[in-house]
Amino acid sequence: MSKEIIPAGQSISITVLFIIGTSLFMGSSGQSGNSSWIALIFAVALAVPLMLIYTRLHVLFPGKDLYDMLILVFGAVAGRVLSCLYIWYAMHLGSLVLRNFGEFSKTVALTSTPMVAPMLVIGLLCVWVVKAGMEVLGRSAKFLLLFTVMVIVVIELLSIPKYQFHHLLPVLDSGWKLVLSDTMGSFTFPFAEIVVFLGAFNVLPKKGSAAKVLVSSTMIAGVIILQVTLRNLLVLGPDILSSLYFPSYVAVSRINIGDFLTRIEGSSAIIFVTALFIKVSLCLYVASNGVAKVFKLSSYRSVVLQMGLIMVYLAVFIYKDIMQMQYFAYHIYKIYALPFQVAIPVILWVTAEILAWRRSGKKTAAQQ
Amino acid sequence: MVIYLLLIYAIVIIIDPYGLLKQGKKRDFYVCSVLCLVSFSLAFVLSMGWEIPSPSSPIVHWVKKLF
Repeated sequence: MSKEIIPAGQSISITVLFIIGTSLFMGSSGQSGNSSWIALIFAVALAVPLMLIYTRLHVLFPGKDLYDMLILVFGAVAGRVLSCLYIWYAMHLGSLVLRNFGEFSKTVALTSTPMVAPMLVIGLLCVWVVKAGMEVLGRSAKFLLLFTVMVIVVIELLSIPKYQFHHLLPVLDSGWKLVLSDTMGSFTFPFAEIVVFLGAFNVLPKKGSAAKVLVSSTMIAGVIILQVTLRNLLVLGPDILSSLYFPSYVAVSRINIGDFLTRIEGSSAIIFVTALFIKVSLCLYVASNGVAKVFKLSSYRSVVLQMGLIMVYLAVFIYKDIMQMQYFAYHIYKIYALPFQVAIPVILWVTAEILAWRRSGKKTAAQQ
Repeated sequence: MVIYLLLIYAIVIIIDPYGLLKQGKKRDFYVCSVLCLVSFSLAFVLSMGWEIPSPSSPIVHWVKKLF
């Protein structure tokens, strides 16, 4: 089977939809009330250096994905153990996102339908697209990103009459401590989650600029999430915002243009599903790719269906209820995800730099 | 529900692991079969309505212990 390569434009689309996926309907970490947008800007600023570290890994190991890098740097045994951790992380993240969607449909749209039904449908769709290959996912993402941005802009314009600017005041009412806590929350969820894309670095062109893909997608996603957060804040206010599980859905439901254009939240929910579809698909691809690399399989496609089914079942019993989901997402996840998003990649980068430096030193000595 | 599950998994086994064996991908077949067994076990337990311990609880416990 020929090697899959996706161009930068499609990679950017995948990563943007991956980052905004859950934040579109779950919102961002919001303990700081009306200052959550400041935390979001800080989170983007923190994410950019991390993206540059990820990019450097692509420069040091062109054409290799995270699993290849781990095995090359840490050896067959330790590399495989760390690879297993990342397989778990990708599976877990995919399940969390699927569960978010399950809770969303159970709470607001399909209240009498068992939660597993919509999750299974989306899960099987993801299995289908991942089996078809990353090129198909890239092309879908490019189209879906255009559609998503168009819908967000239209909703933003329609929301303008509902804006109440006094909701933003007084700025920094809750103090810097909560803003910094929210910065940490927004950094790990969703920006640094892009570490999952390292597991798909093998689909980037060898000489392509990973910096262009990661930094620009972080910026684009940051602008989109900031825009959505500000809209929710201006329409609902910080008090209502913090009491809702799905604030974007409620904010859109407030739109009323001349008693004619109303109740468009159902239509806007389509973009939640499209972004979520890309996010789960990437998680599934990375988890399957990891299994293929750890067990030296001929193709990741051999395990996609089973990994997809396990991901859906895991989503069913991962939380007891929506309150546990909310607590995990905003309080536990920011600490749980840090080793996967920052610690292991930084150790990998430092070790790889030392190895590359030693290799170049040996080459120079041999030439002399 | 369990009977439907058995029927669905019979089809899944024919399509997925058995298909790999027919293509001569032995290593892929073994890994896929193990994963298939795991996914079937989870589906069976869920269809029976038995409770599976959530992996989130130990994660929450560890994080709370650390901080």
